[in-house]
Amino acid sequence: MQRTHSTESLGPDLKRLKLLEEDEEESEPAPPAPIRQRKAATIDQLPSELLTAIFGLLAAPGVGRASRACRRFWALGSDWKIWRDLCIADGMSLSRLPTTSGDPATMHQTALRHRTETRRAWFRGSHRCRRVAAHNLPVTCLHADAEGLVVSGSWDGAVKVWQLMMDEEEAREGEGEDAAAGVGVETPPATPPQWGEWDEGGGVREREANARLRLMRTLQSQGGKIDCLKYHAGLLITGGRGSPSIHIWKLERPSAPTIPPHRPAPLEPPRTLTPSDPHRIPTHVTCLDHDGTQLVTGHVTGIRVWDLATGRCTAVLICPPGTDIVRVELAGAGAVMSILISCIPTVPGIRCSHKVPSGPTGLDLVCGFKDGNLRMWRVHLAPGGATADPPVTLSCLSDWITCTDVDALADVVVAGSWDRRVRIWDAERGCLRRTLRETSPVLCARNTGRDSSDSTEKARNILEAMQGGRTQQ
Amino acid sequence: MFHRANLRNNSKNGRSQVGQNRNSKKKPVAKLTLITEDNESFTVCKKVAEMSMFFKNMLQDTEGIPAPFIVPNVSGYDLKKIIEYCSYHCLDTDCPNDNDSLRSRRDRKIGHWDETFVRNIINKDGDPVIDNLVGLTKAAYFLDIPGLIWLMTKSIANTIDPKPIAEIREIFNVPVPSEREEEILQR
Repeated sequence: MQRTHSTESLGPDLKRLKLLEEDEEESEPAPPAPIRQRKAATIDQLPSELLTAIFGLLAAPGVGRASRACRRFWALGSDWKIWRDLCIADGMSLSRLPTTSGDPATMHQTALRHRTETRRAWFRGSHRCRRVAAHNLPVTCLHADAEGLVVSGSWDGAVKVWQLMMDEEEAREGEGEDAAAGVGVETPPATPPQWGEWDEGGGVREREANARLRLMRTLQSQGGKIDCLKYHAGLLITGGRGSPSIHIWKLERPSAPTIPPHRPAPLEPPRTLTPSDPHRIPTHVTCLDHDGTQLVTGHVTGIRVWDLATGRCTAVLICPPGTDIVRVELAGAGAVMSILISCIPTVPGIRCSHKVPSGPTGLDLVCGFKDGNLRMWRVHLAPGGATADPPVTLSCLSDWITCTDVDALADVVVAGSWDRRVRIWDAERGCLRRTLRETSPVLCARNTGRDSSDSTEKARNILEAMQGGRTQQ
Repeated sequence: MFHRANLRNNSKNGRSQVGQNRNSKKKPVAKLTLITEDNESFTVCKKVAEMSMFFKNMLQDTEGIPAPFIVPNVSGYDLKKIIEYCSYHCLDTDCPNDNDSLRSRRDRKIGHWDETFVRNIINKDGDPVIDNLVGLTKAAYFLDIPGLIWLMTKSIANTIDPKPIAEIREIFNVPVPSEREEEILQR
């Protein structure tokens, strides 16, 4: 017997055609149809073309996991086009890869090899440590990017801008003095070459600072301690204590060390929206984030949102007393703009978090806790609110985690903690792969996104700022 | 039930023909009948059917023949969902097509209607019935509807993206590889 569906039940077409003439409400999709018993159609029966399309829509860690499922997927997941797009999405410099017009096979191999080698460098490569005596007081915040720009802020009120020099760049500079200094400090007679304390004498410190990290300029804040900074799109914003507590610097990428430092332009006293708090910037900014147009600052008492074009406060969020906001992040997902807040309401609170955009409407959150564990969430943003998948916990015995950073392409999480260790986690398998020991608590760590170009010794650079006031990589 | 639907269908057709006679300026909506492999029949607008490249080519080849189409390889459930999708999207101008780059396909967002559409293929527990998604993907691939193929692959990708390897193997129905093979894959 034939079953016939009337056009009425399949009507959205007619309704929608009618829409063009009369303005009606858009039709919603029909309610869920009862799921019929059907012969199993498993995903491995899909043609390769469709599987490739699915692989192309996954994020880097997803491709990594899926391609390890079996040999067929390994072949599919090794498609060079997928990796080229992932590399672009990750912001990896494509100049290191052959251009897109090159041979596809070479291209894919290079991109794939890049991921494999990066992972190997993280887990098995030799880590050289070099200390730079940068500040007199603890370094609290750090910025590092793939172009080699490093900005450090400290409680001594200074913000220093550095250029990270690679080995061969250094050699090209041809400054024999620097090279000699590097060698000289590399093997001090009294201290072990890797983890030892360096001589505090001024000369050594300066030359050491010049050897790998070249100081470009020093910006002095008019207030006191610097607690947080963010560099994005040529705009460096620092927050801390004192008055004014927020400084905005227009900072172009330093091309040569001879450029005179820019004058800092303090933020004009903005109008606040709360009548009880007129014309005053809070004196202690604990954290901030900006995207070039909007600035979000976190204080002990709440959160403020500023418009950077006018310098005015556009929104104030007052938090209950006792909320210690330690981190704010702006997360953009299409039209949705979210502010992520982490705070310490009670003892086992979130200390610090880092986000990786995993798609147009998703975020990967990594949070470090006071109990020494890391938890990773996949957060789905939607206009109505956000939902999160159950967290993946990376646990080990350690002290209070102070900072986290993520290498999205290699699927690696770096966490610094109070117990003087930097731990390197494999997020793909959820296991601890490496622990680096320091001599003082690590307050912030950043992955620079560059690996040393020395082919025999692949080493991924991590910059760590330490309580002792040194920067190290 | 089906007889009644049939009757109503017929009576409606009759009425519309009367209507067409009365004001002949209005173009008659071209209809065609599709019969699936499990013997369910559907009547759809020509414009809706032309979303599928498969039907479009077939219509061009067999123009003017009012015979019902037999659609192989597609079940009634899938075709019902496909018609639902095509009915909604047949007037869209910026459908995903085969010429889109991987990047634009990756960055494209799932619309509100599409999201509800996919959610309705999902069972009570909130897990997508991957079999149903896959069945629909295969049907869309066979009928060559680029928009639906994109939507389905994107939904499947979103489903398997956060899953660990073991779960991916389960979903893909892949046997756990031997130790030696595992070693090769772990490179």
